[in-house]
Amino acid sequence: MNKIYDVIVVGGGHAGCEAAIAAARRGADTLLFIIKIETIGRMSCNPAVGGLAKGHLVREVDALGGVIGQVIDKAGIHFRMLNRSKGPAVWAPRAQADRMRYHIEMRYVVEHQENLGIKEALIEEILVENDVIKGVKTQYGQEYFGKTVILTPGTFLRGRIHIGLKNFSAGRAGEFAAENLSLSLKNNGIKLARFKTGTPPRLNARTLNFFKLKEQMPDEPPVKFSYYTDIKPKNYVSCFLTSTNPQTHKIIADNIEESSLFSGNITGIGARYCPSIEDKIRKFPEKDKHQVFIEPEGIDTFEMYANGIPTSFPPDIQLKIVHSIKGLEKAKIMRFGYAIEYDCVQTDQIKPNLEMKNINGLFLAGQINGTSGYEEAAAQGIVAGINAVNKLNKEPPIIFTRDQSYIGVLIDDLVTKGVDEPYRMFTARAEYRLHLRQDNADERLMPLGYKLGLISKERYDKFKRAIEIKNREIDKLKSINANIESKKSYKMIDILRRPEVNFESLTQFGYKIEDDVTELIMEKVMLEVKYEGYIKRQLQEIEKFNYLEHKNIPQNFDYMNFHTISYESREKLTKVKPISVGQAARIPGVTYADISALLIKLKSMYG
Amino acid sequence: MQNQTETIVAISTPPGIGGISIIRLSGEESIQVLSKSFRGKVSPKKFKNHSIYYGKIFNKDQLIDEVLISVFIAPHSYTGEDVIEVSCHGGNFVTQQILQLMIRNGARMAMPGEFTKRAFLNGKMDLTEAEAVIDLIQAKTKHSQEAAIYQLEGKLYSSIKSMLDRITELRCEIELDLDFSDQGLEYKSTEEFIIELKDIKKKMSLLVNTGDEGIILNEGYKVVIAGEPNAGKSSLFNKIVENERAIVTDVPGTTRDYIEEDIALEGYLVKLFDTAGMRKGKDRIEKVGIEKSVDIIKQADLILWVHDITVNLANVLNFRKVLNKDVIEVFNKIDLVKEKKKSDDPNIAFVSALSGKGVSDLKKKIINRIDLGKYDISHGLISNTRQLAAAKKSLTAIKQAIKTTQKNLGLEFIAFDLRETSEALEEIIGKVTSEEIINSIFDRFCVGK
Repeated sequence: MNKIYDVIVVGGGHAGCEAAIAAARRGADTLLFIIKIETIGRMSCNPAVGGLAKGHLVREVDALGGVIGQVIDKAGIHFRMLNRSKGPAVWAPRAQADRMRYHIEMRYVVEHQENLGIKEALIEEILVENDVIKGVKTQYGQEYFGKTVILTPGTFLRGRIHIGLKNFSAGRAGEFAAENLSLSLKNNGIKLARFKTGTPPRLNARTLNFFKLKEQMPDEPPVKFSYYTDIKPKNYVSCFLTSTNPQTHKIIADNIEESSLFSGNITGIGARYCPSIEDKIRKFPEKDKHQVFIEPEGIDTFEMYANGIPTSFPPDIQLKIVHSIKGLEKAKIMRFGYAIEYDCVQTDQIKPNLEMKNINGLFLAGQINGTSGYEEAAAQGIVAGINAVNKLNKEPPIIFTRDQSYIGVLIDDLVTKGVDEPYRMFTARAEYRLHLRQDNADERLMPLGYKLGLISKERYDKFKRAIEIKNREIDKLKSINANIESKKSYKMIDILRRPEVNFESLTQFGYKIEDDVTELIMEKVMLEVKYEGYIKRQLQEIEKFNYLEHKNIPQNFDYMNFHTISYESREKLTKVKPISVGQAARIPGVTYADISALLIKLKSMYG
Repeated sequence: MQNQTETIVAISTPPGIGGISIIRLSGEESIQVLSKSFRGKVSPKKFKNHSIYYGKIFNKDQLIDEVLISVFIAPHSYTGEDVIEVSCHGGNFVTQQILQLMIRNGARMAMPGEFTKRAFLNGKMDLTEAEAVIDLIQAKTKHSQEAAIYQLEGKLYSSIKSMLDRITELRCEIELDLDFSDQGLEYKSTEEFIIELKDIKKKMSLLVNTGDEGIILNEGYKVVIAGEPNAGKSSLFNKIVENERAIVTDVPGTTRDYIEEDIALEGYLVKLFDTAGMRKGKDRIEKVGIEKSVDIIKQADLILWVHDITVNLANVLNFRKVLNKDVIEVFNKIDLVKEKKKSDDPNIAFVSALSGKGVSDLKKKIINRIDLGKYDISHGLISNTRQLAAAKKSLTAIKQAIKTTQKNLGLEFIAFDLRETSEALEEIIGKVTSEEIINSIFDRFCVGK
């Protein structure tokens, strides 16, 4: 009799690693397939983790017990907190990674994980019987059986690289695509879409004129991503900034028909927020410059990533473009940029636990769900891993909600609204942004991570201790008078509320900061005190939001025979199968009238 | 979307009409909300379904009115929720006070048609019935109707829409700045931002001010008769009301010290108040009369200060300054003096409340006050309390946004304030983005029913 795994994960990128590790940590007998073991946790695009809204996702995944935060803390070479000049709800940690180091650290974690096996093979088929997943089949024809399967193939599903007018099958430059898996999905009734993304050329640092580039220093000391770990990240390098100019733009305009984007060969849909340089020039001809960030790929290499000019021009034009840019006049390209098209699934076929609606036990995470970005992938990976195990244990799914996390926003957007371009997280997508901060991801998610067995007791104790200290400090601030020359006496907390005062400066007014108050705790205290009013208002909004969110709709609800609402809405509701009235209300095209009618119907059916 | 469990409140009788006004509460906490201000033999906690209780509404220790409470326990009520109806003595003043109290006690001002919507949602009514309720709402006087027409033409809509668009633009810019701050894009400076916010705020203030005009058209222009004792205030009141009596709201002064009548003067709804209890020998306005009379004067749009022409007028003119209100000095009892009294001064009138002489002249002067161009309704104005509350909310939110910007608290907080500003404006003109049929149906409802 063949061995049956609990969880089979197909793909070892940012989604796949999180999914496999989460499942294995929760005790599932897990097998991870990857086309090439050397590519575990590979960063296909820019060598950086975090950034605006994405940094929030990393902290959330970390708080749940995922690995991305710890891996980047170890592999990071340049740490910054973005948006420092803005308010604290949108501060965002970001780090440049040593691309090779990142892979090594991730591979280390994966290989050291109990219950987790790794196998190098290309998966060509999913095995399905009576709408239940049974396993997968490799290119060698071997069958592996699993009670659940998590697909995280990234850009490898029928991946096709375009450079100039040339195009060829590849999952990433120099790597095989998964040509047949798409077909297998299609044959199992899964509807696919085709998306496109791109990368810029990589340059040799020894050929750059750094005197002409603007240096961007990292933050000192570096702020790490992971909560309550002993990792001590270190800054090694700077990044550099330059920009395109009218001459660059002329080269692009003159050669535009040579770009594969305009050749008619590409049908995939690209993201508006991440356009190629030729797109930028076409759409914003009035702009005379675009930023180009020169980011080191690692500390053992001279390779530099030219962030800001992703392109699919042929090599000679790419070189001309690069040479037109200040500081890059004599640059040598080590790898050329390219555009890549890949298959993904239409996400209205997925449930909020990331399981396919029509195939029991088949979970999807990452780019296959139409997202872009390592952080978005990791977030889905851990959710899929967690829920595959819940499925095995016959426990109800763990649903992440919009009021609780960016992870919840991400998944709800995917399954409720669907995606028509590669999906990236923005803070603007989160209605409850003032609550979903990077500093409190631990408070929002660590208790869940601990409950699920993903956070160790040791880390959880540290977390609990930190919260105790935080509360102690807030109590203290409320009770101690500031040492200040004034007729009126002021409490410390009132002093801290002033915009120009930070926690440490309270010592001037006689406040004693105990040794156990860490930077993180100071930040937490400060934010809670300074923004108390706003946070309260936000929490009130969340309470309102939850009213419809907690009105559940049975999954077998028959919308098509519910004639009170329009046919169009019935179709949409049938497709999405919302789990709550709140989710139903967010489906584009479903009207308030439909929701009202639905509420009445549910009440009459279930009281 | 509004939370359906919140307890809502509204005046469910049309403004100013009827001897009795009803304030209706609906929601889980209806009884609790009422109980904070109600004193009676039976505690609200012990109220039985479909019963009526007598009691008094207090604001802290101040008596507001004697009322009857009708109790409808869910699901046996109009909305299907716990419903409390407070029947108080008609008239805007008391009704508004009770309404405000209920809001302070935790109820939320109902959206237009929200009671009906809840009835619909709770399966108490089908959609056709709900739509039919619209017909119950009528403009009361010709000028109110005119305002309604202008609103249909979208004057109010377009002025609010343009504010909304400008705020949306600022919000977009903030979001852009927050999520793409690493892109080297150019944004408005804080100063430019504040200038724009302040300009929108100015327009909003205007809107809130026109709100007072709009309310005059819909809820009445408040004219208060005040003055020294024995100047003939009550006689004048009766004389003015005599031929104009549209609706009688003659409330005996058992719990209050004033009388109120709604009359229609040339199509304008005018609320006429007769205050009483002015004490002798006190010439400072703060000490004149009891608090309620002062409260009414404070709310007045116009005061008729009545003098006895046969009495020495030495201290008369001081009052006007103290009041800081529009005042017409009315010299009564001209039948007792020999010379003929008539004045072209719009601020002075001579009457005889006994014979009725000069009263029509006084009425004209009152109407002229309303008509003085101050109330040009062609630019669109806010015409009910709900809209005014929303406009005020948006004004408060944008003020907060300006403060937040000046204090440099952070863009995401400004964004939060501006979202509140937008949402408040959307309450008036309806969601700009919505194709939501029911919402638009219910937006056409007047509050309460």
